Amino acid sequence: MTDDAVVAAAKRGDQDAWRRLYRAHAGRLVLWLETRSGTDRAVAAEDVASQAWLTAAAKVSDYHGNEDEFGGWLFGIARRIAANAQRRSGRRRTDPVAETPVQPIEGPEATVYDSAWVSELLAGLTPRERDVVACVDVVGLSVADAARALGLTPVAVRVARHRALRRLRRDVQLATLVSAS
Amino acid sequence: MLQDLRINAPELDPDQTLLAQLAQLSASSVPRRREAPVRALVSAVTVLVLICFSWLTGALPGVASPFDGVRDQRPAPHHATNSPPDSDPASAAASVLPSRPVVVPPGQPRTNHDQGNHAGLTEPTHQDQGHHYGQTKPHTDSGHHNGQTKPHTDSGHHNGQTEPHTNSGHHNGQTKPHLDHGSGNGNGHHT
Repeated sequence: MTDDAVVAAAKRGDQDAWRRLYRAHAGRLVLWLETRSGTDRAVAAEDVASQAWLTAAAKVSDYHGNEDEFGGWLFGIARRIAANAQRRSGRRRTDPVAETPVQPIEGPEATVYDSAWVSELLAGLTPRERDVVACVDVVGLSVADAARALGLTPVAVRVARHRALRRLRRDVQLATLVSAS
Repeated sequence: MLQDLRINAPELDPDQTLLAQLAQLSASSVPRRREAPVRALVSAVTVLVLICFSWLTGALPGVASPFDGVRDQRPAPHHATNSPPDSDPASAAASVLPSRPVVVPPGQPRTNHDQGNHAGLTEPTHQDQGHHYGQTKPHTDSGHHNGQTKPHTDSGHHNGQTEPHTNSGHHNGQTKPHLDHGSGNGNGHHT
């Protein structure tokens, strides 16, 4: 697999290439991390995303592909960083309370759309189905990129997505019936 | 359903500091070395060295060490304490002294009716007296026996047997009961 011009320039340390990659993938990476299952509440999605970008820059020599496929590789890095953060938080046994005053800090990711309703909608799915739907249907990764990001085969991604969407349709119909009655 | 779930993620601009870090890290990034073939080679060499060492020391079951032929030509010190039940001085002397130091190729079954050294023989076709190492079938002879796995009906020194014996002599390291002491099949020392 050969690199396209953007990836080749990014490997050389070109800031314009990195700015283009960041604009293409940073927003949906944060969005995906916010909707993911198993994310530690004490670790912000923005922190995981920033760490994923730095790790991707340090290991970009190992990546081969084009600009679009870079998203799947980046999401895979973010998934492993989030898993490590989850394990660390399990050892620390952090338990953040809801009453803690939160001071919003303006940053590059502060404009990300609030995805709380998506997380609530996907709460009834299994963790794998939730990850697949969030990758493919929420942030728009291709099946191949989602498979690369989640460490699954494309067939497994398709099967999990099919089951998840069928379950979501059933839940939505059930909620509609309950609200109507 | 698909259109309902899709969220148009906003296009974010990177911070200038983060952008500089990304450019610097990517410029200094080096491809990761492929360590899988090296690890496989090291593992293979390690296994080969262990196998060779085991072969040379005679630790492999059924395969005698190449140094057994040289080692067996020397008189065994345990023969001095041998006390077989038969008091025949001729047979005792024959079992003590390796009169014919025959060098036997390791691991080759032979039919012997002699006195000598036998290493790595797997067939019970011996009716002789002498040194025996690493046999896997029963013998009906007298002499020193090390590492046998089947019962013997003979007299002499036995070390490391795993099956019961119905004979007389010295026995070290047996793991099964013996029927020779007090049962009419002979007497001997057992440790």
